[in-house]
Parts: sequence; structure tokens; C-alpha cells
Amino acid sequence: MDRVIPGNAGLAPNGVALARKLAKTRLTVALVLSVTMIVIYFGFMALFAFDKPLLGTILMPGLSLCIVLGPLVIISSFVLCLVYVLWANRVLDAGIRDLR
Amino acid sequence: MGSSTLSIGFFFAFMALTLGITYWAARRTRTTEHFFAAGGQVTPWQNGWALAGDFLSAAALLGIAGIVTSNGFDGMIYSIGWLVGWPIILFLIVEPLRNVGRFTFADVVAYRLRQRPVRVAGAVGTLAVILFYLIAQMVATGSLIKLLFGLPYTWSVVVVGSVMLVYVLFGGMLATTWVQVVKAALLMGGGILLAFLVLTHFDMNPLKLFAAASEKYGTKVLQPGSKVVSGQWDAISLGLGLMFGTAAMPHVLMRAYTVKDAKARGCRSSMPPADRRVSSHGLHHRLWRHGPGRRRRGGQGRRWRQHGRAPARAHRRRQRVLRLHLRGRVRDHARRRRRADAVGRRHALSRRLDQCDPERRRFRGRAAQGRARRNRRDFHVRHHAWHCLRRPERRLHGGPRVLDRLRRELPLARALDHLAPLHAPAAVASILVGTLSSLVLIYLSPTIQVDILGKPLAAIEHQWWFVSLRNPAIISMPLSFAVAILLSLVTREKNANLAFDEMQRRILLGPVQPTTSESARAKSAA
Repeated sequence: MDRVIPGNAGLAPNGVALARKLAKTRLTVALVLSVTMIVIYFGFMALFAFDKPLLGTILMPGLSLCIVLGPLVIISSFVLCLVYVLWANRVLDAGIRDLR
Repeated sequence: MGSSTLSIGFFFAFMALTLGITYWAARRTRTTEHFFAAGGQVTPWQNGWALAGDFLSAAALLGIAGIVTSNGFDGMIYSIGWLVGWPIILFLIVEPLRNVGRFTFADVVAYRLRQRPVRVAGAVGTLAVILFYLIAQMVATGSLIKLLFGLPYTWSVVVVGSVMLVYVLFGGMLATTWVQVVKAALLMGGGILLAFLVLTHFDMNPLKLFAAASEKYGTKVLQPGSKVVSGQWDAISLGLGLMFGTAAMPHVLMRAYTVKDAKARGCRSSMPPADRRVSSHGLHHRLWRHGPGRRRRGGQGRRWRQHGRAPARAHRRRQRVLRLHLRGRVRDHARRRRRADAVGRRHALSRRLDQCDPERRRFRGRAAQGRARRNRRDFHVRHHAWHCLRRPERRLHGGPRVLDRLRRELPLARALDHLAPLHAPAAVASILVGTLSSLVLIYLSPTIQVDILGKPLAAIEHQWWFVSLRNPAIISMPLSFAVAILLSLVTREKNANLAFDEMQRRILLGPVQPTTSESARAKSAA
């Protein structure tokens, strides 16, 4: 009958709505970035699994398509991490500070 | 002779350095917190290097170089797969893990589910992963020691195992962290130096290196082959395992706890117990906002809507009605209920934390008190409702209030059920099914049956149990999730949703200073 929900401990009344909004934003950003990473990586892996000849195209002596795309996947993972860290430092942390 | 002496010299220098670090760390380790999480005293930069050390095992330098040498481009699949696990850890896992748990991922799962079964299942899963991960590491290092010193293989493995135990048992997380920092620096330095030295032979142009390789071994070296992964779906499965497997490595995840987090600490200190009163008001406001006013008929509702301040007015009006008409026992009930509410909420939180935290188990007595108080409070509410129904003058005002409460809270309960339907049996089954199915599938795959047990592929190919995939992730991962979802739909857990909100809050804001008992403990420690 009486559910105990200690979820708002420590927040001002209007903070609850703000916190929910911030939590939702964080989740959205995290999910979008994760899905981007998953799409990039499994796109690459799908090429590797299902279309090896395409991935093995020689672009110039000493350079095949896979040697270009492989490091690009790695670089994209760095870039996505950078995006998240910058976003978290600028937006998320500021939002959390405002909540306090 | 020369190079062998040099490598033996390096080996002993590294051993001396790391054992020295272990000795230093052992002298600084005092508490459980120190042992398991280095007291949370590691700076982000140190932690980053230590993570790199955890991650750059010998496999990264020697193993991948070896695969690339023997199989060409295919070796890259491993290094790419390991790297793309990191963003997933960063986006989805680290922050919630750091803010909710204390030492391991099991803390997080046990936070809102029944503690014991979930922890046991978590331990089984973690041990299975670590065991098989360690086997590979020990075999590799044992072979290396055998190569260096000519020790018999068995003894090499024993020596390596004992040294590992010394690091961990005596130095705890602090020693492990610093050993990993040293290792990462050495591995990265060595890797960069080797790459540089190789490139000096090719005018610092990697394309020339690749061209030379393809000239010598054929263009196959630069193209994806099928030696490392044969099947099409096997490749996808390997990708799944590499990406999400990295994100679940226990020894990587536990690094989340070694960093001192100024943010979390700030949150903790700005969370005085007094705020709790304010917060319970916040909760009521939220409930009220959805509740009355809108549903009432007549002019009152319209007027509230016009003024746009229905909740506060509803609150005040209800208070006034209570004061005017229901003097005496009902008012006392209300006051007692409010007090009990706050106390009960505090105790529920404390009980939840008691369950999670082994160090706080001794406060279980208090938790029992909290339960008793909650029971008493529930009794008051029920008592109140019964009186309202029995006595017409109370039914008039008290009844709607209780029914209102019910109506307001039931949708909330349902919403929470939808948001957080994971239950302990489902979590346990999911972890166990994931672990066991991976093990069984690997045992039935050609990796074990053909490569190790030496059965001819043709003979077992048509057996009913034969699994052609060498990498089981594509089966075991969906299976594990499916079990969790199905069992959660079937089973019910009484308290699973209670802590869900608190967990969400913690994920965002970091840990709270939960009860007066802990602040008292902190004071006495200071």
C-alpha cells in the first residue's frame, strides 16, 4: 500500500524533475554514442564476414581497403570517447552542479 | 648469449621493481577499501595508465604481432575488437557502476535485488571469466619463462602463479595499479620504439612497409583471409565477443572504483541528513501534482486550474479540512504517519544499503527496527482506512484521502514495474545461463573437439550436439538476455522496485551519505 521510494533524497522539490530530465539526457547521449559505435564496428565486421573481396580491394601498392577502414574504426572509437568526455565535462557536470 | 643475458637482466630488474612496489603498497594498505580499491586514492591519470596496463597484456604486443605475421590482416580483427569495447564501457557502464557500487559489479546488481543469490551467481560468472582468462595468460607467461630460463614448463607456470599471488595478496589494488602503470609504460615505450625502428628501414613510410610485405608474401597479406575466423557468422560472433566481452572484463571494471571522484565526494558532503525532510516534501509534491485537482468536479477544480497552483492549494485545503473536521485521533494519525513515513523511508534506505554492503551488515538490527516501524505505519494507514469506512463522519474526509493515495500510487507502482522489471531469479538465471552456455558451446565447438581432443571433423560434423561456431557469443548473449526478460515477466520480486529510483538517482549524482549511523562512524573515525 505505502511504497517507500527514497529516490529523491537530498534534492530540492523542483530538483526531482530536473534530475529526471538530466538522467534522461545522459541516457540518450550514452545510447546514441553506443549505437553509433556498434553500427560502425559491426558494419566493418559485416564487410569482413560477408564481403571479403570488397574489403580486400587494393587501392594502391601497399594499401588495401581494409587497412584504411580498420584504423578508421579505431580512430572513430577515440573520437566518440572524446565527444562523450567533452559533453560530460561541459554539460553533464554543469547540470549536476546546478542540481545541488 | 648477449641478447639472452640482456632479457634475463631486464626480467630481474622488472621483478625487483614490481616487488618493491608491492612491498611499498603493502605497508600503505590498511583497510578493506585500501585493499580492494586502493582507498579510492588513485588519480585519473594513474588510473588511465593502469587501465592501459590491464588491457595491454602481452597478447597486445606479442600475440597480435604474431597473428599478423602468420595470417596477415586478420590479426587486426582482434586489436580492433578489443578497442571498440572501450567506448561501450565508457558510455554505458563506468559511470553507473562507479556511482552505485563499491567494489565489483555484483554490488550494483545486488543493490536492488536479493543480495545472496545474485552475489553467488555474479561470483560464478566472474570466476569463470577470470579462470579462463588466466589460463591463457599463465600458459603464455609460463612458455615465456621456459624460453628465457629453460625451466620445465610446469615449474614456470608455478613460479609465475606464485609471483602473481604475491602482487595481489600483499599489495592489493594499490600495488596492482602501480605494477600496471609500469607495465603499460614499458609496453607502450617498447611498442613505439619497435615501430620506430622498423619504420626507419622504410623511410618512415608505412605504405612502403606494406608494399614490401605484399611483394614478399603476396597481396594476400593485406587482404582479409579466413584463417583466424572461418565462418561468416563466426566472424560476427567473434566481434560480439570482443566488443561486449571487453566491456565485461571483471579486472577492467573494478578499476572504476580506484579513482577518487571529486564530484561524488562533493555530492556526498552536500547531502546532510536534514535534507531528507525537504526531499520527502519533494516526493509528496510530485505525487500531488498528478493527483487531485484535475479529477475533482465543480468550481473548485476550475479555480485551481486558473490559478495554476493546484498542488499547494490542495495541500493547504486538505490540511485545513483535516484540522477543522477531524480533530483528535485522525490528526494524530496524520502526524504520526508523516513522522513514521520519514523514519520508514530512512530505514528502508539504510536496510537496502545494509544488504549491499558487507561492512554494514552489523547494522542489521537497525534494519529490523525499520521493518517493524514500517509495519506499524502500514497498520496505522489500514486502521485509518477502516475507521473511515466504519464511521460516516470520517468516511467523508478521511476516506477520499486514503483512496486518493491509493489511486495516485497505483499507477506509479505500475510505471515502476514497467521501468524496472528485473528480478533476482531472472538475474541469477541470466548470469548462469550466459556462463554455462558459453562454456558448453565452446566445449562442443571444433576448437575443443577437433583442435584439442583430436576428433576428425568429418566424424562429428553430423552429430546432433555439434556446434560449428567457434565463438559462442552470438548464441549465448541473446540466450542470456532472453532468459532474463522471460523470467522477469514470470516471477515477482517484492522489493526490487524500491531501490530502483534511488539507484537512478545515484547513477546521476553519486553515492549519498545514507544514514546517521554512517556519519557517526565517519565522525568517530576522524
